[in-house]
Amino acid sequence: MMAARLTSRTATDASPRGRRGVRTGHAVFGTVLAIAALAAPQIFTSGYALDVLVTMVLNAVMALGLAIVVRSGRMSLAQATFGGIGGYASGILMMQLGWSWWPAWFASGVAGAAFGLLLGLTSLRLRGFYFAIATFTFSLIAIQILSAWRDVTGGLSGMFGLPIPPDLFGYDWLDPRVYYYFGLAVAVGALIVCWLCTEGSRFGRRLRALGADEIVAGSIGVPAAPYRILAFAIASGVAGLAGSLNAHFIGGISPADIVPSASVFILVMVLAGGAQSLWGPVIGAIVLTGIPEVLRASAQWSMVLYGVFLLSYVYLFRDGLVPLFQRLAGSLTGGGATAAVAARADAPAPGTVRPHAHYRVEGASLALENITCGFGDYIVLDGVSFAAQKGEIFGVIGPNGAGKTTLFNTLTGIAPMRGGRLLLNGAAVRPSPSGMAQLGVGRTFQHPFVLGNHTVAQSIRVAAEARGSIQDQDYLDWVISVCDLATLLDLPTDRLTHYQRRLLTIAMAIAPRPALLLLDEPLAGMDETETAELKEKIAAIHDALACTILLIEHKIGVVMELCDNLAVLDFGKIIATGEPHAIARDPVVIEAYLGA
Amino acid sequence: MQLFLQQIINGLLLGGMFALMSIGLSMVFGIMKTVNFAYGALYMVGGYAAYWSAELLGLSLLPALICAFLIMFAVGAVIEIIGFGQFRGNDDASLIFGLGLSLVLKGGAVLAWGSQNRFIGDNSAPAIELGPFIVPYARMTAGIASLALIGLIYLLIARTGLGRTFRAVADNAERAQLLGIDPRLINVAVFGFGTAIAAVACVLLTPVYSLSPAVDDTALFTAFTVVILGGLGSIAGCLVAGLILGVIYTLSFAYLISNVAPIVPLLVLILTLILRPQGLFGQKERLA
Amino acid sequence: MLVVENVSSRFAGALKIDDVSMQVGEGEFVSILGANGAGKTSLLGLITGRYAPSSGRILLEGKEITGWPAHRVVRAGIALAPQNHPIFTSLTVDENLAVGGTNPDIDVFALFPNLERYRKALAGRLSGGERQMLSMALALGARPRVVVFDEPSSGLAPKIIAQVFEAIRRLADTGMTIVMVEQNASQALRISDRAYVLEHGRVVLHGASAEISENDHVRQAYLGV
Repeated sequence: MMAARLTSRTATDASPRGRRGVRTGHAVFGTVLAIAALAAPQIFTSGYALDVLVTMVLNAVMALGLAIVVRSGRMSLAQATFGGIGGYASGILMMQLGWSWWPAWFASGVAGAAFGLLLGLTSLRLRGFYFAIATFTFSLIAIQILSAWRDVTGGLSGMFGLPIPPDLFGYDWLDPRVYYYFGLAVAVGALIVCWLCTEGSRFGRRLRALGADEIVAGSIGVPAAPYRILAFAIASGVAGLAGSLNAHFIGGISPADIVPSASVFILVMVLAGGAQSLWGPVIGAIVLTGIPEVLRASAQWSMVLYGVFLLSYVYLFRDGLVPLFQRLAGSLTGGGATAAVAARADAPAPGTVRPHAHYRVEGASLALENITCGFGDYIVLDGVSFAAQKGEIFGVIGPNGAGKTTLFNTLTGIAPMRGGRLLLNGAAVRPSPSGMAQLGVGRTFQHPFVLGNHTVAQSIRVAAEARGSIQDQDYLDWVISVCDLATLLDLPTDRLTHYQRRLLTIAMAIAPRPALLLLDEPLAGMDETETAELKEKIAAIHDALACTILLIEHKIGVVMELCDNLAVLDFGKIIATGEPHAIARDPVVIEAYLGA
Repeated sequence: MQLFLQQIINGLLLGGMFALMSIGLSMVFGIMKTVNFAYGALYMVGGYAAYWSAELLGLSLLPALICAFLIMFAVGAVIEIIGFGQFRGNDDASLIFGLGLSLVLKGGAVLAWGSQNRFIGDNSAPAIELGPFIVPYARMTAGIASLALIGLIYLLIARTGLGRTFRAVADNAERAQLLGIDPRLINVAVFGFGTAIAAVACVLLTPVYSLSPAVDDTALFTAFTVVILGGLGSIAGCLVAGLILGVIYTLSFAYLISNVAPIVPLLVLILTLILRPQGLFGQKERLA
Repeated sequence: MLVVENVSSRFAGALKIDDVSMQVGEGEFVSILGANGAGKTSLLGLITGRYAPSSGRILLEGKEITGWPAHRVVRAGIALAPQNHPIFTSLTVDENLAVGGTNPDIDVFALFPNLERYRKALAGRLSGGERQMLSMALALGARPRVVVFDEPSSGLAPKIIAQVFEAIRRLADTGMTIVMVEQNASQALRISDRAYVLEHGRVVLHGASAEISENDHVRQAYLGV
């Protein structure tokens, strides 16, 4: 039953009470917004007001598209450019090649997506500022090409007199309300796409995990590049459709419509509204399109206004307007998202859920042959070889800086493998972070990295989705129970203690039922009680899953107790392997590591 | 051939200016790892600081330049203290802060000062002839002054105790703090200095490009290109990349259709990003 | 010289340092021992101004320095050579040594002869042991009254560790006040005058190093005897 709960959560819920509240909130808010949106053209009937409404709706579509990219962990400064590409595409197809409206409109989306794919393929390796600059440069290049290619695009003055689409169900597009309602339908579609790309589908949830932490996402099998490229293509396609509508609505398009500041404005809408919340981009678009119009601000004043908005965003409401309102509403009604998470009566007591026999996996055997790894001239791993048998707990010990963590990073494709072979169940594999996870290798990190912007339940769920164990609700109940997380399910991960984070990382690693589990210093920073508890848990997990475990640990006592075999790593070389007791007596090991 | 050499000379002079335009951005990035998206806007405001010093106080070019240097040093220091310094370590926040600040400054500049082109002081200097080459006087002085200034900044960073402290903070701020250096103070100084140098660059380039609120985009974009091409934070890289870009720019305008020419430097930038994002000289963060 | 009075500190809600008191006299060489996660590095962080304690006081030569930022603590006279020997890899060895200032009382090249021939080379070229020596030399350059070494043996080969410890002992013989955190308990007890043993953020034992190394608990827990 707990897993049933696991499968039905949305992004912003923070507590059981808050969840229901937020759910109702979404429904009420959605209904109000829908009524307002449908009624708006009946209330604001002047031509000017209708123009503003159409712009608002189309901006919302653009912002919803960009939100997908932002949530995957990248900031693009080219969204308006993709809109412009859509506008030019349908304009050129209709005016010069004689296409009719619908195929041309569809093609504008395809054109946006195609250029998004192109830019994504070339620059999604870049992160942060570099990616922003690459998109910025792309938009400048697009402007130059569109300005220079006079025969086709009309050069600097652009294209004008774009054809009006054919009547829609008998309604004439000369009436801005037709654009408005059609745009509204597109916006609803974009909202659904945006939801599917964050919460509403496996792809979306995994994409959101990628945006929260690329390394953790890799460890649960999310391949960063393909996911981001797809997200970028979807976002650009959405922009292309909106841009085409906008161009036909205005009746023309020119390079001036896609200057970088236009793209920045879209980004402002996404961020100011709240990039992580469902309605954020919509609210951002409404507010930021509306305010300059209400104030009848000139272009310069709008620019200043947008700037001030960005600055106050950084200083005052870094989650965006929607979460800000939610917090305000929460504090007015008392509690809300800040309500403490009480222990739930229906949660099973820690450790009471017994594992079933079917949890057992076929443990993987692992063999390393002469693995080397280095950065520049610096060799970290120098010909490391050892083998772990199916189902055993194999310990890796060694002094600080010996290369233990690098060893795990090499095995999971995070650090480059310069030479040697890695055999999983006897077959050679070329490690990549998500690829290893797909092959059934789970891992934790020395620092208990968790997914930001996720609750405990969401984290476990997205991890379980890596390999289909999400269907096995009994199993997930057991995972939650063995890791003592039952009472913490609704808590955002950033409010966990160090120990709880550690438990969550272990739960996430075992949620997909790994055949091989890599634990990197799980006991680091634990006190005596926690150490004892965690040791029991590792043993219990091993008993239930029968998976192979590779354990890096400094606490020698625990290693001696848990492990069937040990390897000692020193200066990137294995100096001894064998049973714990033999290792403890090995003079080489005593000299290099144990001391005295 | 003579035309080609003429273009190369023009390109090198232009490249010197590009390098000067970029050096403030490069230093701030190299030492503080901060990407300043408001750099172009601050560059433009720096130009106006000199313009209004000259107009309102009746100063000639050099005193106006010094005046602008001091004003923009203070402005940069304040922005570092209340702005970027607050968001260190959070790249997204600094990126957005920079974007916001640049919108406010640019919109504000148009509102306050209008969008017409202006010049500081007298702009009617003739071209001069050096043997067979004809070089416009304004470009000549701006190019040479830029190269001289870059030389001075290089010496400051590479040879003085202050420069050593800058480099130490750039290399490992935490370790520097453990040796009694207050990294925040260094950051404020570097940001102020970088902003002030941007103002100087803007003033020197005004005879070539003139001054208007629209110069910010050119400056921001050029500076990013130079800095990324040269390798973020490397002053030598900044100079070389500036010269390369200047020559590419001049040659593409001389030998390509004028429509295509503006794309060439953009292509240089995007190819650098795709193929060698650490830039020509980008090993790890080195500043001198 | 250095007095730590009832200092406690919390990190992320957990009590990491729990009511620790210790005293270091002028010219003394004190080592702090304990297992991984016992709070040794956290304690040094409090002494050197990286973190502020939740309660308690820290005094240097009678002057309270509790909660000062790191660069002021250095100027007051406590210099730290942190764990994993961070140095300025893009500066030459000579430039490195000039950053924190030079100490006329200590000839670092006599103390660490290995560094002499790399003076003009980039510090990034140095090996782990040489980096550790340079890092200690940097701390000494700040003219400290108390110099603090955090895990000087960490990640180094046994042969190099012996050289490093020997240099530290020689430094102690010149009368420098030294606080050293070490995981390598036996070697640390061999060269230091006094020692504190930390477990779960508390001092469980302190006294002369020779006595500590005879203590049954310590022999079992840290010396593997």
